[in-house]
Order: sequence, then structure tokens, then C-alpha cells
Amino acid sequence: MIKIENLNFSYKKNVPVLKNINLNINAGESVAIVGKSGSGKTTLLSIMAILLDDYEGNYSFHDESINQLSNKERVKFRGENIGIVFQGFYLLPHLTVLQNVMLPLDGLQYSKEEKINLAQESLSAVGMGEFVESYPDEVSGGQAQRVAIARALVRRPSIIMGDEPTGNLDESNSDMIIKLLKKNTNKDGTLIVITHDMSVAEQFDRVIRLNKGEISS
Amino acid sequence: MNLLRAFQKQILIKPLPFYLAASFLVLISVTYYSYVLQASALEQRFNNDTGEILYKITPQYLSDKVNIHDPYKYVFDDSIISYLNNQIENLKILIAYKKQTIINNSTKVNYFVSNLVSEGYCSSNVLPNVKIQLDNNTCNNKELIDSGIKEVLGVQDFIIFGVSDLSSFSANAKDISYILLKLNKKEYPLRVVEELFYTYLSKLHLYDVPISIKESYASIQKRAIQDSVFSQYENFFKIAFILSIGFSTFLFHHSIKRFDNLEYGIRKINGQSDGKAFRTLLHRQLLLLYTLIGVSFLFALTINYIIWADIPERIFYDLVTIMAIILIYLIYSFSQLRSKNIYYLINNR
Repeated sequence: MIKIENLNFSYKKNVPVLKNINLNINAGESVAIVGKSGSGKTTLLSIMAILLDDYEGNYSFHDESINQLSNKERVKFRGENIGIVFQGFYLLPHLTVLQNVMLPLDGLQYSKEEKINLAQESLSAVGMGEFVESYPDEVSGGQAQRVAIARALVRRPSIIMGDEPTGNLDESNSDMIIKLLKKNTNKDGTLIVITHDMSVAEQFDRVIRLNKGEISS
Repeated sequence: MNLLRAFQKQILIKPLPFYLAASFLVLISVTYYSYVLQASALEQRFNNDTGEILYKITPQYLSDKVNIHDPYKYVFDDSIISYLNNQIENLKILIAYKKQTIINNSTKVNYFVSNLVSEGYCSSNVLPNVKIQLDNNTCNNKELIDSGIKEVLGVQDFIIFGVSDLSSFSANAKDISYILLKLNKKEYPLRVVEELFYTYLSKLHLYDVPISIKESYASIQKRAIQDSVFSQYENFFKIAFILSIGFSTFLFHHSIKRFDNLEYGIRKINGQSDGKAFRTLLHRQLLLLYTLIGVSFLFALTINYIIWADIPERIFYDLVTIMAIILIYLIYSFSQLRSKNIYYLINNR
């Protein structure tokens, strides 16, 4: 599903962040990427989520080379195939929970009612169906992250990526979020999560360790 | 920083109070700006007056000069002139003036009054409510005054401006307590008239003037009071002006640079196209901008209508300039937004 070959990336010249990364992730697999701060985890996830370009190497997704896509095609591709959850939730504070979840549906060929229904379904799937009219600052951190997951799921992407999705949560909420992510990832879907918490990582099919921009195991 | 972020967040969740506060400050600053502009324009005009006779009063000039709709000029309308002509024996306060316009150059007036006295034009009786006092000499004979004025100034037709209660100015007995203005179709040296008039004004502090103005002078009274309010709260307006600049800049800067950049990133990462995410923010910012400008402008118009009776062209163009500057800033901000890395979320956590 995801195939990365000879990937190198640096934000500044002569300061490599990722060095010669080769990686295959299969459909239906759940993968945790672990490593110390500055090891390149977020950068790697950002590239896989098509949020960063200007890298060296090849990156293909469903046998389609991302390198060949135009910016517009990348945005479309990401919207259709990838749902992203961040540590900081990144909900828009002036929109309701429902409106936040509807964001990824904006511009798609759905009627407003269909969008609302899809968003409500997605919220219900993460146990937030009763909070549709709430604003992000009116829900707890765990609930906000569940909303963020609902937003990532609403287009039913084939792959969910999480960048430290449990980083701001306590242990019980953390477990609940991982379970939700695993439960709501499609049967053939893929879940890739960055974490520094080994107890979280152990719940995944595979753990990839990054050290100073290189895969160590 | 946490407090700042909480404040920024609050701006987006419940923006109305902040926008209202910003609008209020902008409005005050616009008002103050128009006030200062006019005062400085007057000062500039007088400072530039070197004493030469630069103007001649022509009917057209007079028509322009005696224009109640012109805030840069003193206000004499037809009703006042008519009133004066008809009731010159019972003069009332007829003058609204701005504190900033005081000129303390009475040399010429004293020279004029000295001439009146030395030429024997002033004696006793006749016109109790109108008199000229200079040292120990008192002149309150209307006919003699008329003659003296005609002699000294060569003015044939004139109007006397004065006060109804001269006892209020007894402490200033050495100063002239009334002044004359010429107003007719002939050409007169404006400088002479203005200097006399302004000198009179300089002696006549508005706040000391008994407010016994007849109904027909209500508008002048209103202006006088409003002017005094402006003077009284000048420091407040100055502070509001400074706060307004700071607060407005803060609002625009942070809402655009910080949150909109963030929102832009969130919208894009969640699948919205570049154009869609950009337009969403653009619409909102433009709405905010136009609201601020629109309300400010309406307020400025209202204030100008109330105080100055009209919108001076100069202020109008200055407001347009301010709008243009804000617009340029907005365009600049959005150009920065667009050129920035949209993955702000990833790289700026």
C-alpha cells in the first residue's frame, strides 16, 4: 500500500532529517512509529500524509507514485485517501463540533443534509453524537481528540495517520483513543501512528523505530 | 503567552465584543482625528498669516467665508447677520470658536482702539450694552463708534459683535469688549477684520461666556459646548487614539497571521482546496474589515454632521486614504498567508 524508497529529507541544507528511509506498509496493517524527539517521526509522517514535499526518493501509494502528482492532485489524493489526527486536535474554535467534522466534506458532491448525516455518523462512531452543537472549548481533551478522529474518518479514508494522537491525554483517554482508531479503521485500512509511549506502540501490529533520521528496526 | 493565546482564542470564539471594542476605539480615533485635523488646519492658517493683507472680501469670498457648513471658518449665518442688523442694541453672544484658534496679537486692535479714543470718537452714553474700554477711556456711543470705525477702517457698513453682559468682563476692562465685523458687498481687507475679531475672541474665553443665547442660536451654542467637551477630554481622545492604533493592529495582525494561518492549514489538511480555504478566510476578513470601516465612516459622518454640520472634503479624502492603507495591509497579509508554508501546523507546533 505505502512504499517508500531511498527517502531523504532536510529542512535546511546539510542538516538531514531523514536519511535513506525504505519502508513498506501493507493494507490493513497497524503501525506505530517510535523514536526520540528530533528523530524525524513527524517529518516522516508528514511526507506519508502528503503534507511535505521537496524530498528525495520515491513514495508510492496504492502503486501510484506521489512524486508524479501535481499540487492539486496531491490535495485531492490526500482528501480521498488519508485522514489525519494531530496531538493538538486542531479543531477550529469558532465552529461547532459538527461543523468541524463536516470540514473535510466541504466542496464534495454531497448535499448539506448528507454532509450533516455523514458527520453525525462519524461522531456517533466515536461516541460524540451528543455533542454536535458544542464548541471545542466546551468539551474535554479526550472528547476533542475523538472529534478530531471523527473528522479524520468522515471521508472514510483508507489510511488513518496520527501524529502523537494521545500525547495530550491521560492514560485512560489514551487507551480509549487508540481503541477508537483501531476500531474505526476500515477492514482493509491502514493505521499509522507516531508515539513516544511504548505502551501505546505495543498495541500495534508493527513498531518502526527511528533514530536520528534512520530506521533502526 | 498562555494568556495571550487564550485571548486570541477568545477573539475567534466570541469575536463580537472584541470587534465592537475595536470599532469603538477606531471610531473615537476617527473623531479625534477629524477634530485635530481641523484645529491644526486653523492653526496652520493663522501661523502662515504674516500680517499682510492677503485677502479681499468679495461677495463670492464672503459667501464662502460666511458659510455655516464650513468647519474651518467661523460661523456666521444669515440669521445671525440679520439678527445683528435688527437688534444691534441688544447684542448677544454670537460666536462659536475653537480654543485652538486663540491668537494673542492685539497690537493692531489696541492701535485701532487708541485711534478711536485719541480721535475723540468715544464719549459717554447712548449705547449701554456696547462699549469700548481702553485704560480709562470708555466709548459706548454707538454713533461715535460708528463714525470712528468708518474713519479709522474706512468701513462703511459693519456689524458689531459683542456680549450682552459686559459686567462679566469687567475684570478685562482694559480689553475691548466688543468687536466689529464689516459685511457687505464692498471689498474690505480681511486681515484687519480677522485680526480684530480674533483678538476679541482671544479675550473672550468661551467657558466664561454667559449662555443666554436665543433659540435662533441654538446650533452655535451646541457647537460651542461640543467644542468645550472636546477640549476638556482632549487627553482621553489622545489615549483612545493611541489605544485604537495598537488594538486594531493587534486584532488584524493576530487574527490574520496566527489564527487564519492555522485555520488555513487545518482546512487544507482536511481536504479543502487551496482556493476554497483561502476564499473562506478572505470573505471573513473582508467582512470584518468592511464592517469596521463602514461603521467608522458612518460614525465619522454622523459626528461631522453634528459638530461641523457637514463633511469636509479634506476629511473625506483622509478617510479614504486610511481605508486604502488598511486595504493594502490586508492584501499584504493575505499574500504573506498564501506564500507561507501551508503546513504551518506541522512545523510550528
